Amino acid sequence: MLNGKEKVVLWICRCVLGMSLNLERRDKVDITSFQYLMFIVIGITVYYSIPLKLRYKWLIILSFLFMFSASKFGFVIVFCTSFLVYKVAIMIEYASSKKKILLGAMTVCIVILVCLKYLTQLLPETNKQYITYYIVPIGISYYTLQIISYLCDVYWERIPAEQSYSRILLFTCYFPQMVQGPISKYNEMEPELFAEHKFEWKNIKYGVQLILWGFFKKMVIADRIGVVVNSIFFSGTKPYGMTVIIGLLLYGIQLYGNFSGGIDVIRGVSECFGIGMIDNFNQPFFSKSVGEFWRRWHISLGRWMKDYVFYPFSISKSMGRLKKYLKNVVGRKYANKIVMAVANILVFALVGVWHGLGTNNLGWGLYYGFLLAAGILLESQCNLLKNRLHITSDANYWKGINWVRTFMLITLGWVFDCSYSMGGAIELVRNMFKFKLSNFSMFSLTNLELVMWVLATVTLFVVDLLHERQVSIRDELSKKNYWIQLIVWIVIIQMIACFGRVPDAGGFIYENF
Amino acid sequence: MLEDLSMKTFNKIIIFISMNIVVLVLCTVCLSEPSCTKLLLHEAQYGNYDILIMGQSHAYAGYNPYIVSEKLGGEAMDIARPSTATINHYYMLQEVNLQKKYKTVLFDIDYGYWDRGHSGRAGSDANLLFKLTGVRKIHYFNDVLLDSNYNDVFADYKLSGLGTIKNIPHNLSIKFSKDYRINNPDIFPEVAGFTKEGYYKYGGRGFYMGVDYMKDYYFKPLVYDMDNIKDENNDALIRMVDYCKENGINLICMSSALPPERLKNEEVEGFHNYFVAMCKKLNVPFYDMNYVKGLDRTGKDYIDKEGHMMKNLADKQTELMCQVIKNNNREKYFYTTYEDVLKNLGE
Repeated sequence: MLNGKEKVVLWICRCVLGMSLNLERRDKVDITSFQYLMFIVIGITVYYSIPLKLRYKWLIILSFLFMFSASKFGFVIVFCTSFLVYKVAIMIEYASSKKKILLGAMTVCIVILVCLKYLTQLLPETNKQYITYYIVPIGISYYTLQIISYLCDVYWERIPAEQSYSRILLFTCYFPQMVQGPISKYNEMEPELFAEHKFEWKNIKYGVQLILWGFFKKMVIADRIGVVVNSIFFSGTKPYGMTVIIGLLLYGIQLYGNFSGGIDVIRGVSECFGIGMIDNFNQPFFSKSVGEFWRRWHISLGRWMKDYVFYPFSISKSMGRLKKYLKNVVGRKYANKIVMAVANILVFALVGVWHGLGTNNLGWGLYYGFLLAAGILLESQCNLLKNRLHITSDANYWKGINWVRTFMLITLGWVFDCSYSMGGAIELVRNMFKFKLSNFSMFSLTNLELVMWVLATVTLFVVDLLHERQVSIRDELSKKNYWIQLIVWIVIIQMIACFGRVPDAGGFIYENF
Repeated sequence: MLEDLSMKTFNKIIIFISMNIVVLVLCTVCLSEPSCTKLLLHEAQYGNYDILIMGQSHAYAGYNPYIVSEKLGGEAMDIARPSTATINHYYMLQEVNLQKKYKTVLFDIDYGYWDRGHSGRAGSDANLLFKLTGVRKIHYFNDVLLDSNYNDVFADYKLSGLGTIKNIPHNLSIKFSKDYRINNPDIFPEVAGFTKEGYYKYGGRGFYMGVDYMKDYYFKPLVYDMDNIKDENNDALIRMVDYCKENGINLICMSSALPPERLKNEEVEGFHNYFVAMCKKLNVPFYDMNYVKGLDRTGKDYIDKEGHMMKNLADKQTELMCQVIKNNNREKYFYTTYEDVLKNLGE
């Protein structure tokens, strides 16, 4: 039997180790859990209490504990993969057959990802859970892309190969980003991760504010809408007409609140350690074209695809040959455009498959790929038409039309997320036009819940609008009187407490990808 | 680290934390309902009982503890509460059995709860932390709350409608009353919100007697998803079984009979088979009252479409259940297939 002191030590150990000593079955690490908060609080306290030079090593320890809590042996795979990447990067710098080494290492990383993440999806449920619980490292989809970007950057001599293994290890497994990204580049993260961060109250304050704002978006807005969205699309009854349209609009807000809320929590946690991370969202719903939307939504993935798939593919030999052939058939201008269009379709198809193996994911990728391709191919015709109609691009009404068009196309694209297959998505689109069958009994919200949800969504819109106008709300708020700040944050905390609890709301949609 | 903080900043942090605690406590006192579980746990722990009925709302309306006492020989107490997570049952059982007096536990399994966990539930009975005593408090925190959403841990309230605000005077008057503080069982009807015109009357010992049909009650057929059964519920049941074995308690699982309309429209059979297999594996008897012969009923025997029984049906079900437990003759008392169940249903 343990005595009282030992029990206290064990309890503290458990908090420090996060979920590590917890041997219950767990398939997700919930970053909204009290345990995660304890883990962060103790992690930060130790971080700022140890010598500066040891701090990044403490982050490695925290990251391994976090990984261990999610899958018992997943950290071994991360350890081995990062060691391979570390060695290969050094070899690339000195070897003569750089390309072969790069391709070999990339193949290994991709094979591991495909085997662990995608092929396991084909296994029976019990085996799948077992493999996820014991073997698949948390965040494998995110860190695999990160290490591939590192290898490519070394290969293209954008950055030198890192000589310290522990640094590559931390870059691979830095725990906040293991949950749902963002997908960072080594040259961005290196100065952040390994700088000697002194304790600054501002970092903690801003970090906590970002965490709370993330919780607000997730719990008050996304989870509450999630109940309605689930009842419309995933409760077994088919939605029709206006029910589908409202459901898709709500799903867009839910996904935005959920995903960007999760990223805010992650960035907030990282900021508390003094480590800045790129934002994955830049007010995407203010976009005036589909292309712009994807430059503002999941920015790090889009940027990764552009840098490591789109450009290499566009300038590849096969595309060069295609361009040469097309020049003779349609002329130089259109040849370039067709090549760009094909590259876009490929990139989005890949992004779709990255999300999952379902035909709806592929359909999603192809939908956006073809939309962007059409935009590229029809650009000059559109400009011609615009000139004939004397439309100026800066005119507000034109901006409004573009915004509405983009919003409608994006909203329509959610059908792939709200169905289980490509066929299901097509059926959903068909049902969308059967207005007589609309059923509003699926919107089971009380009046107060509805009012609060609308108010919260309007708050989100206003905050995004201010960000769009380059207003830093945190800076503006910090200039205000202390008591005003106090009231604002107490209100947000109370909003989360009063309205942010939805039974079995589930975690973040992109969590543990 | 602390030397980098100026005294002014340090004070601001302390004020921020203190203000949040004050608001949190105020909201908890005003908005969260007075706890029925607190009263039931106290009565079950200190009263002269040896049979315990546990479960959710189907159990508080579906089993009459007085008939159980009479038929099984002993004294029964019903501590079932709506929305109780399975893991909470495990801790409630430990708490009431501190004096090791319980010989039999009748645990009602409501299928509708098995794909829901503890997370996100609010209200005075969702978080047991301050209702448990001794080391159970620490275990509960460690087991349940550490994994829960942070506002499940701290804030025991939510605003779900204007009714929550209107209830504040009622909440305060009960919470500050002496009877509530000393856990006087006589105050239970007031705490549970029973009124003269209500659908239930309080029968004592935690029993809710259904007396009137709820016409306006909206109930949507449940879509059971076997893939969504939560491991945390199964784990909690296993822990209850282990606890009962260690303490010489005869644990009996059962499932209260649903209205005919639900049996016709919902996939009850899958869940029935699931729990038959599970209880067989755990070596615990499981009596699904949906399959019992002779429990003739129509929708009008329930106070609503969800399956909360009127008193007469509850009495009939309790008597049958006691016979079943005593005789343990499945073939005599139960239909073997779901088709037979459906064939013999009323309207």
